Amino acid sequence: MNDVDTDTGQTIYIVDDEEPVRKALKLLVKAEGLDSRCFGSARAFLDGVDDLGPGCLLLDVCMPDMTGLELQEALRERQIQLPVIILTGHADVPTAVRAMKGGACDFVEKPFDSNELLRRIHECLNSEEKQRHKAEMRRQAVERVERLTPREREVMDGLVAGKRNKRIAEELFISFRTVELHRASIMEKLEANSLSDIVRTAMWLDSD
Amino acid sequence: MAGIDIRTSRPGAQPVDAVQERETGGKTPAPMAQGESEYATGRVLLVDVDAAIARRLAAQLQGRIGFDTVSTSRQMLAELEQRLPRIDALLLGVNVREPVRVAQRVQPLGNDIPVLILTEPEHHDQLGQVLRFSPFLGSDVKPWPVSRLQELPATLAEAVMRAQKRRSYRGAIAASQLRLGDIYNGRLQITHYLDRLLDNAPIGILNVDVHGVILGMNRYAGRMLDRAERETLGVSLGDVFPATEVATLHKLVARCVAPSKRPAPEVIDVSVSVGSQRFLEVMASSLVDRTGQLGATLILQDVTARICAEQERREAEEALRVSERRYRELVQTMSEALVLTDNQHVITYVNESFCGMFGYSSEEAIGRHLLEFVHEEDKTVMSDRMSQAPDAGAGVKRYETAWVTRDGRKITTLTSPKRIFDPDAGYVGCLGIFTDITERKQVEEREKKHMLELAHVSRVTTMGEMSSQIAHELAQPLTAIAGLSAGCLKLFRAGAASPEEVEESLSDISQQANRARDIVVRLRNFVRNADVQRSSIEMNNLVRGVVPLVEVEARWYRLPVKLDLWEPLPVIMGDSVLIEQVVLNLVHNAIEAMCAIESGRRRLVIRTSAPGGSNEIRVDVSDSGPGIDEELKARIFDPFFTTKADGMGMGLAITRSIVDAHGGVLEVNGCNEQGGTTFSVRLPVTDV
Repeated sequence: MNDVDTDTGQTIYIVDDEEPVRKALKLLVKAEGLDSRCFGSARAFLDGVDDLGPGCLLLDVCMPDMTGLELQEALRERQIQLPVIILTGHADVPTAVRAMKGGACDFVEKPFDSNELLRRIHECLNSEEKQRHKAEMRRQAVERVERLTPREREVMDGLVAGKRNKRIAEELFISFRTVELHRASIMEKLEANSLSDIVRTAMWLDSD
Repeated sequence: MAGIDIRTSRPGAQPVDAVQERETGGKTPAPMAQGESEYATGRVLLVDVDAAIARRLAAQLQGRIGFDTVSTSRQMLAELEQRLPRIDALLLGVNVREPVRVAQRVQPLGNDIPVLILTEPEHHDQLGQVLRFSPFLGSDVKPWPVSRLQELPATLAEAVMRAQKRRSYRGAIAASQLRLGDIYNGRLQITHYLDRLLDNAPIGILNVDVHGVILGMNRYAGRMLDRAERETLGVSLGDVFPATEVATLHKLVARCVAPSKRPAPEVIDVSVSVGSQRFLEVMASSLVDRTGQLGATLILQDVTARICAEQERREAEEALRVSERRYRELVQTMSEALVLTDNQHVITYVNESFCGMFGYSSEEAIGRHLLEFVHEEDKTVMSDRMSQAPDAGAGVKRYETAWVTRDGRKITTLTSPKRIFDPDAGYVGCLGIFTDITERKQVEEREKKHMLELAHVSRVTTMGEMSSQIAHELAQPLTAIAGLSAGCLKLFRAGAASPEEVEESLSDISQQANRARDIVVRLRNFVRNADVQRSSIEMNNLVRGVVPLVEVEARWYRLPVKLDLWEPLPVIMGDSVLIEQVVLNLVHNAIEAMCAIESGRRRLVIRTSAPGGSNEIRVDVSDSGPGIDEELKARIFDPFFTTKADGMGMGLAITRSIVDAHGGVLEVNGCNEQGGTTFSVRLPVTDV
């Protein structure tokens, strides 16, 4: 098994109105060593949306009651960050555009090549994991930065801008010593071991 | 002959004989019987004449005059009454008393009998005087004195002669008078009879003079001319008859007055003068009136009825002639070929169009059997039809029949054979009218081919329009197959495949492959370009077969397809692909009609039914779309009429032509109970 993601706890969510397709996807995913959950309609998926773990959504576009695109819309409204792979039987341009605008991370035409689909699933899962990591880092950065006092924040901005302590003291009309004290406090609050840690935190903070 | 003929043997003279015997006292009158027998035609009655005188007379006039003797005047009268007119003269004796009275009494019995009265000479003048003035005496009564006895015989003979002469004259006169009287009476009777006859006879008599002035007419003529006799006497013909006919009448009169020719009757029209339709036949015969002047008798006969009947007959004949001519022309010039056959289907008549159509002259065609002209492909059908028992009540049916012309061309006609029945002879033959539809047939074939091509194009177009849905439809099973097979393979390679799992997957794969194949087969059938293939169609099965094709689209637009199928439905004949196309087109239209409305209200119903028994079946495709207004309704079947931005406008036109080609009807209800449109296809159920 070349499976590196088995222990990531990610689940493949399959939403398709056709049972044979669902079964096929489930078997394929299972053979790949991934967990999966199947839903016969968009509605059923939305009902169980609250206890979703990380993973990715394989979504059929053409379904009665609620189409894949509408489900995508609903997920965005609920701010559920689940990467979506759109499956479609007929790849017309408007559908594809709408799907990608709606935030789909991939768009696969049926019938698909199984290995290709799996490759994309893995890509998606990886990116989801990265995304999840990024989000975590940012969340940490924000949380840590919030611990700082306004003065500490000003000092941090100066540090991140690559200014020396002396320069910062002059610009803020404080003593060199005070700057050093603030710097130590910042290091502690941001759980940083070095200046580069502070800079990384600031970068996460600025990332979207 | 036997001397003096004293009549003794006659029974009626018995008293005379007795008197004779008594007076003659048995003296024979034999001497008296002697003498000249050639004058013994006269007979004189002697009344109380002295026997001596009698004897003397008898002696002297023997053979010329016979004498009878009576002694009294009474006997004389009796004798006269019986023997008149054979007594030619009377001689009264001197002793007869009152001789004038006796003569007077003789007069009524025979006034022409001469009477001589013997008298004494001294009384002669006196008696003459008395006789001259006595009334009631005949003209021939004379006194005769006994002194002149010697002249008496001659006088007596003269008197007898005179009497006989007179009698014979009177007889002749009487006879002629009698004859004259008969004639006179007869003439009266005839005239009267004629007048009456003429007055009452149903012919009119009109006498005119040479100038045409009416001299007289009978009652019937008056009635005919609507004139009283009084008004017409002395009036000219021109005042009685219509002016237009007067010339004819004058000609008639002139012709008969100069009777060189046999007069022919003429018919004149007096309708104008009598005020109602009346025709008179006039015959003229010449008339010579008392003054010797020539005129004419016009004999009038009312022939109105005859003329009218003749006119009617003439008109009827003319009408018949016209209609016959018209029919003949019609038959000869009509563009349809016309053939008459006898009851054995041997041709007895053909018209010009037949000759033109078939290339045979009528002489060549007549006498041949009709079947000889029938094309090979129709021979069996035709002879079957011919052998059917003729049915007088059967109407005219129309058949399409193929024939062979003289130059071997095949022509197709629409034939309407009519069997002809004679009331007496029954089935006598057949009248066939052939309309050449060869060209029409070719056009029809071409049109049919065009229709098929169009239908094919339409099907391909429909498929093109539906391609994304179809691709999706195919993608589903392929996706399943791909996923299942890849999964299985992976599991198998990893050694993690359970037999149950593999078996289930393979079964699913096989199922999905079949599903894909079904779709492909149906598509291929649907777009194949084949000739019309008639086969029996079970409409409900056909509808069920169409549903998967439309369900793709229906699902796409998220509308439910409801089937309302009537069981059992009669089987129809037709091309299943084309009928499928009809249903598909209608459903396709219905789905497109509902694109614009909100998805919750979309309803599609396909209903089959067999209304009105088993003559036809009906397929209704109803949507809940916006419906069709009347203005649009009139145009939706027109080719190239479309309401869609990317439509060809051929769908409904083709649908309708397919339905038409199957003998059916395509109708539209622009506002059904759901406010949408219902298209109805009615297709006839035909015997297989």
